[in-house]
Amino acid sequence: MTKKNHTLTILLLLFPGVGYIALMLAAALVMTVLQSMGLFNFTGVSQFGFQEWEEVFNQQTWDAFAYSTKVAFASSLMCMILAYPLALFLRREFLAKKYFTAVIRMPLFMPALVAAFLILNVIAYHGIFNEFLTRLGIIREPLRLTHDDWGLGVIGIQIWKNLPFQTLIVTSVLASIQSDLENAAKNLGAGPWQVFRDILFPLSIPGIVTGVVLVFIGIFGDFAINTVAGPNYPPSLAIRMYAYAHTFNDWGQAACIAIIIIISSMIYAWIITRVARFATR
Amino acid sequence: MATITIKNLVKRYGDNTVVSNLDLSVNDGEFITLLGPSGCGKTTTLRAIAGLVEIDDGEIYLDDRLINDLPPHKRSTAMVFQSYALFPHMSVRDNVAFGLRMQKIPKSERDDRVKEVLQMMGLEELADRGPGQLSGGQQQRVAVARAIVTHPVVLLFDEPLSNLDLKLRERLRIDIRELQRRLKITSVYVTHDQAEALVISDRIAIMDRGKIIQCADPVTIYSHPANAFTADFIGQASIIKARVIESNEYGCTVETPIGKLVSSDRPKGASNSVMVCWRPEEITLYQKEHHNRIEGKIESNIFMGNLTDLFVDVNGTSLRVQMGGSVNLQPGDKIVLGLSKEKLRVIEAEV
Repeated sequence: MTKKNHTLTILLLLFPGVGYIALMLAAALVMTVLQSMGLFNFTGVSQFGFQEWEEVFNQQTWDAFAYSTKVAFASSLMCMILAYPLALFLRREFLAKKYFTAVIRMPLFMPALVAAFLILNVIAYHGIFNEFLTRLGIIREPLRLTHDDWGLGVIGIQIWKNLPFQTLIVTSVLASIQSDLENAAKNLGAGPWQVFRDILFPLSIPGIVTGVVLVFIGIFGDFAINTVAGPNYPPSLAIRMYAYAHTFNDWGQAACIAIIIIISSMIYAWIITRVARFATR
Repeated sequence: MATITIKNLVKRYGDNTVVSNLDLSVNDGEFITLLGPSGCGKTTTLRAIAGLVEIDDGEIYLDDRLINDLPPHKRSTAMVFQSYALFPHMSVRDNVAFGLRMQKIPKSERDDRVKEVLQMMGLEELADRGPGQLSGGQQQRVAVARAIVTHPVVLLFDEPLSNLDLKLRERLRIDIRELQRRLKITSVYVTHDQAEALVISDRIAIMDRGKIIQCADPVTIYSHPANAFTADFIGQASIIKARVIESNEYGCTVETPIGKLVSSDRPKGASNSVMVCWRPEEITLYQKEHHNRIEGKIESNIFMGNLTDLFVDVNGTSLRVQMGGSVNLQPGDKIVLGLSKEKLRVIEAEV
């Protein structure tokens, strides 16, 4: 085999892996970046420039950004806080644990939109929850639990949807901690709380942060749940992106928002990891 | 300072009884070893003393106090784990200080005691390293330091040397023994290594299938095994079936496949069918003082360096004989062996 042939073979062998990344990932990313700079315009004249970027940084985008950030932080934090005790509880053996676990995991099998509609039936203005409370006379008027300005409805649904996932991660992280470490701590005089505080919690942080980051990114870029239960204003970033592309026919601006979502997700992921590392020092 | 008394301990996992009706008492300051093959229940027994497994029946006393329902963190036992179980996110110093921190010992005293123990174990220079940066032997020493710093009343060792190489193991078992003598802490040690058990223990409890089948000092265990299992498990032993034909206060005569043999030992039970055993190094070339004369033919001759392993055929039974140095005999050669009656032990037949 000649040297030239050899190089070709290597390139061809690499193609399925590298080619896929180059085509599907890099190409798509580069194109989005170029679109945000006025090129590849589907609906108007393509011309290079930073005009799209100048326009995209307006009050509405900032509001959408702040809203998405707030919802993502609140939901992922609550998920973590709720998932931890749940995972600790699931470490024990108890009656009908199998069924309990199965029920808990149910939301994992539901797409976000389906989940949103399910919960909507319960918490809508005239949903089961409000009807029940008004009938009982506990509240005089139904509570506004969806489409509220704070996005509480969205946060609730996000927690409902992501809690099983976070619990799954915490459970497997806890299971990966050698049981003898816990035994050693008990043996050295650590009570249940101290075992948790000094051994389980610090050792589980790295794994749990991964879970929090994944959940956070999902919620930060959410479209479906915000469409169904989000406030009228501000929209989430993803909704705003969709509006630019399909309502205003402005693909350049949509590309800008897409890039904002990607880059902020990365920065937030970095911040969360950093904060967690600092907290365990 | 404490004694341990275990009465009728039972532990089951599902249908599998791991420890069945085990009794054991450990004297104050004594070093006792639970020795047995894997799955014999020795580690479970140890963990029951520490409170790390819930027991199904029986009583465990520390001194006169029943500790069945005492959670592990209130038992004042300190354990050295087979995996060492050092906390990976803490330095050596913090690992050793952990138990004192849990006991709420003030910081200045804590620091002094940690320093003292690290010095005693030769670990001062490694104090700020993480467990991941230590060799197996060093990790093992940290595990011991972490256990003794709390001044426990009982020390528990769960095969602490089994992950180390032979040379290190031989040195550390002596170190552990000396440390325990100096501190005089009642200790229970679990191992499947009979050589380790013989070196380290005041008493050895041989375990088989969840029961202690013999408990005695190392010399007695080696020279007077009570049953075939012990004889076979500790050192090497030749064990053959025998029938008692005469028994009196001075000993007995038995009929065996290799002929009639006399022993200064006597059967303990009423049954005539017993087993007799001896060590391969106790059978030698025949001399006048030997009470038992055994004729045979060499089957094989294996030179091992410091000794020679001979397999000798006697009436169709193959006997193992170990002799010092090299032996100039070929397969097929005749040999006359002798065994003194003091060396021939009568043990219970397997049930």
